[in-house]
Amino acid sequence: MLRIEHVSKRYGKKEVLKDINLEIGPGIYGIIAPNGAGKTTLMKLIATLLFPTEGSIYWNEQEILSLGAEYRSILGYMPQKPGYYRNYTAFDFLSYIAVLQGIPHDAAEEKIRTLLTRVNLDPDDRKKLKNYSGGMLQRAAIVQALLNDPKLILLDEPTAGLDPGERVNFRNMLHEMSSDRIILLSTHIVSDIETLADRVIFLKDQTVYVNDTPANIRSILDGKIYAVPQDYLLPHNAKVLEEQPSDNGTILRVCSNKPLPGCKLLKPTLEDVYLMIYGIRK
Amino acid sequence: MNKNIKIEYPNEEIIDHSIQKILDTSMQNIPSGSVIRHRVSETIGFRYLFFGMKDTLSLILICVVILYMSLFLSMNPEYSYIYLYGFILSPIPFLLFQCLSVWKDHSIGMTETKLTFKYRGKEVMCTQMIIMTIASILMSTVFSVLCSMNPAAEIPLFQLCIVNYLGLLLYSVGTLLIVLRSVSFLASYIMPMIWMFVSICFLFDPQPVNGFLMTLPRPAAIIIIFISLLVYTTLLIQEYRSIYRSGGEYAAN
Repeated sequence: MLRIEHVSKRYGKKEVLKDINLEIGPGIYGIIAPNGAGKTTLMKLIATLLFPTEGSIYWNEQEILSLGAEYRSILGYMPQKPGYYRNYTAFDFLSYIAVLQGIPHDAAEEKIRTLLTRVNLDPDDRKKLKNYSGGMLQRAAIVQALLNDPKLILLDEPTAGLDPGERVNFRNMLHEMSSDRIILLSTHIVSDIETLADRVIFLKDQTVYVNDTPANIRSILDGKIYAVPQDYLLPHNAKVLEEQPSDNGTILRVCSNKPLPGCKLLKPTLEDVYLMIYGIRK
Repeated sequence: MNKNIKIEYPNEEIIDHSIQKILDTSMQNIPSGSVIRHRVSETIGFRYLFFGMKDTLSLILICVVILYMSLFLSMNPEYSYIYLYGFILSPIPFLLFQCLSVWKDHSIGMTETKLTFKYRGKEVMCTQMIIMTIASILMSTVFSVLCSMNPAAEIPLFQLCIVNYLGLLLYSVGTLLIVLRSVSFLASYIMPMIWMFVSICFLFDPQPVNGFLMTLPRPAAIIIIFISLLVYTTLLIQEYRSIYRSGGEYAAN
């Protein structure tokens, strides 16, 4: 169990996170916020790469900074921009990581092979990393984070650079692993979270704004999302979330508190909630 | 007494966990030297210490530069600050390699990832240190021999060797003390900065320091070297032991 208690983080006078309180048990958690809202800072605090200005983080009731190597041995971290040694093959690079993770040689080799096969990198495991595409490097970085069979997995923007097929494979892989471990996924791509996360955490104004299941969060907008023709006269407080071209002209996706007669009621998505919380950036 | 303060007593689960933690920690055997050596060789092969073309080339370049400087200094009979130069230059292979490794990791974004690993790269760094210290001792010896071979300079080999080893060991111990007690990757730059700063200060007025090193009584120098070696070895052993003690076993098991 991971417990974040009254955690704040300031860089000089700039407050990035303010009084974060979370209790996180096994399962997949999606942290959603726009860029620059403190997602990466929160991940780094949990990964002990940063120290909180205030508050503490606990793993099984023990402060993570005092646990040291014991905590890091259960931690798998994939940073937003994963580093790699260009002249190493994927297999050698991961073997090196296995050394730093303290995994015995034989166990490491087996684990690397299994994971490379799982992310479809096994045919290219002897290729140098400098010859890998962006998606392949991203998959190698995912393997790196899972190598020590971590109980706590922190993935910062893990799906950036993955093609749709790889994304689905990645989601399936996380889903398989999530029963007995904590997976924290930070992203601004809402669709990654929608089908995958057991709970979704929205950050706003430097703190936790919403922390609930995707279904509960979506239900906030039940009966409020409509497909509206472009020439429809919208009530004053209605908010246009998206413009979708169709055969009959542009259709607007609108959130309205008041019923819109003649318009088709739609099922709300997490993206609708996201847009209602953060607005549309132009 | 404030009656509003609510004291939360630990429940059975927390008490059991705490007892288990105490037992686990106190009953863990401290591994012996041979076990540590075996584990190090098992987990860190030589190939992971200096890898890639850049590492190899930079090591070769450092050696060539040091050898060239040694030759240049040894062939210059007018050279009078040889002890000071020996003292300053002896940890240079170590210093350059250390800075290059840290800079390389930082530039490709590996530092952050490495800091989340069980061993944080310190173990690799400690083993690198041993090898770099041995390499530096060899280089210092070559430097001292080359310098002493110049008949015009009349430099006693033993004194020059002692001065070189002294510089090298003081630098090594300083590095270990700083790096092993800090979590920031920037700590790796502190000792090189200190060494360069002190060296520049010495070079502004080289005569007194050179004179001091030239006349440094050998027994005193040998005692300092011995103490430095002792501290160096103790720090390394302590680090390895603490890594294996706190690290526990492979998490997946």
